[in-house]
Amino acid sequence: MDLSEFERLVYEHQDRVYGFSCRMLGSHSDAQDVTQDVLVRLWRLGDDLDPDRVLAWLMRVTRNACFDVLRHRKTVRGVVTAGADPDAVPHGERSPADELESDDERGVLMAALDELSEPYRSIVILREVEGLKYEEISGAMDMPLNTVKVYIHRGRKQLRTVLEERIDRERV
Amino acid sequence: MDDRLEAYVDGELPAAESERLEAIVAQDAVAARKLELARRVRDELAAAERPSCPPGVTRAVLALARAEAAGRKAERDRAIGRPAAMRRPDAPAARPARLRALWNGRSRSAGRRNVRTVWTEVLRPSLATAALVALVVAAALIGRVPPTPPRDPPATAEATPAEVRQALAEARWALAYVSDIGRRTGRSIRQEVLEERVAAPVQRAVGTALDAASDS
Repeated sequence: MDLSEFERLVYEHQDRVYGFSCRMLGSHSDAQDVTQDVLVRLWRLGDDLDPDRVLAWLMRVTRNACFDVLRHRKTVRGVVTAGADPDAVPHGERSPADELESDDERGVLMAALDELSEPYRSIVILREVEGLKYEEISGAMDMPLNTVKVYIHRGRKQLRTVLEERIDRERV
Repeated sequence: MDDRLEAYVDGELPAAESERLEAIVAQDAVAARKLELARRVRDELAAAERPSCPPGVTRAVLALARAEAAGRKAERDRAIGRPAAMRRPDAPAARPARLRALWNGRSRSAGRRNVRTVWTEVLRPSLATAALVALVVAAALIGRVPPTPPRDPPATAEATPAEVRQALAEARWALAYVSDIGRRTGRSIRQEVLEERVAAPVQRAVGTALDAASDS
């Protein structure tokens, strides 16, 4: 992969990598670290990557890198119990707790999205927030296409249930 | 029903099934409500804020890639023996088109193939050509008639009688020294090798044989 091709790929995919990392980690600085790490790995992998599978590869590596960060956080939190991470919530964004208390329907849905278990959460983010195709998600998650569809439908159904409950509460 | 509803929202449901679902939704208020919620979930998630990658991240990544690309290029230049003065990092056209095409492989395995190809197609023929030229030059040099040396050696000054006597004395001392060394060496060889390892065993063997003969 030459430099101009790499630059093109960076500008084409960096927002998806960063956006997915932000959603998964809830931290701008962690998302920046993950994005930088993933893009550098893309550069170093170079010609070994099938050009048609770049996006799927990127999202799979990004997801794994996010899990590494989350695991590290759990370890650190197990050791350090005092003090809050000032960067845990991205500047200008709300925490899941804030979003649940929000009147904003979208806020409620995003909070519910953060509460979904894996792999529902990753798959729904990739599909509904980042706008990947089923085939791309299948490559990123290393899952059969039909399995991806089932996870998307069930994940959205859980979100639909949350939204329905909220609407019902408002009526009461 | 739920899976078909979500597939319908995604536009993934076949036409016949879509029509059936639409008919159900038109008559069933619960199904209609589910469909409405499914659409709202999808629309709200699609409209969620998607942060852009900060320019600092992009700059850092591209700077690192450029630095590594420059390093790789320098390594390639070194590998093909290009003098440093000829290297221009931003001028790929300066490289011979054949080499550039060989080095621009699309995969790592292609890269390995290219290294072999560079050896077989470029370096080996070049070395063979250089060897041939060297042979021709050597043959030409051998074929040349060397300049004739002067037949009369340059005149030397004659030695004085005192110098001749001194030289003869040194020669005698040297011969005496060599003779003494030879004598000592011969004596030690005779004592340590011949007498102990050859003469004595032979003497013992002959004695034993004579004794045996006389006994019988």
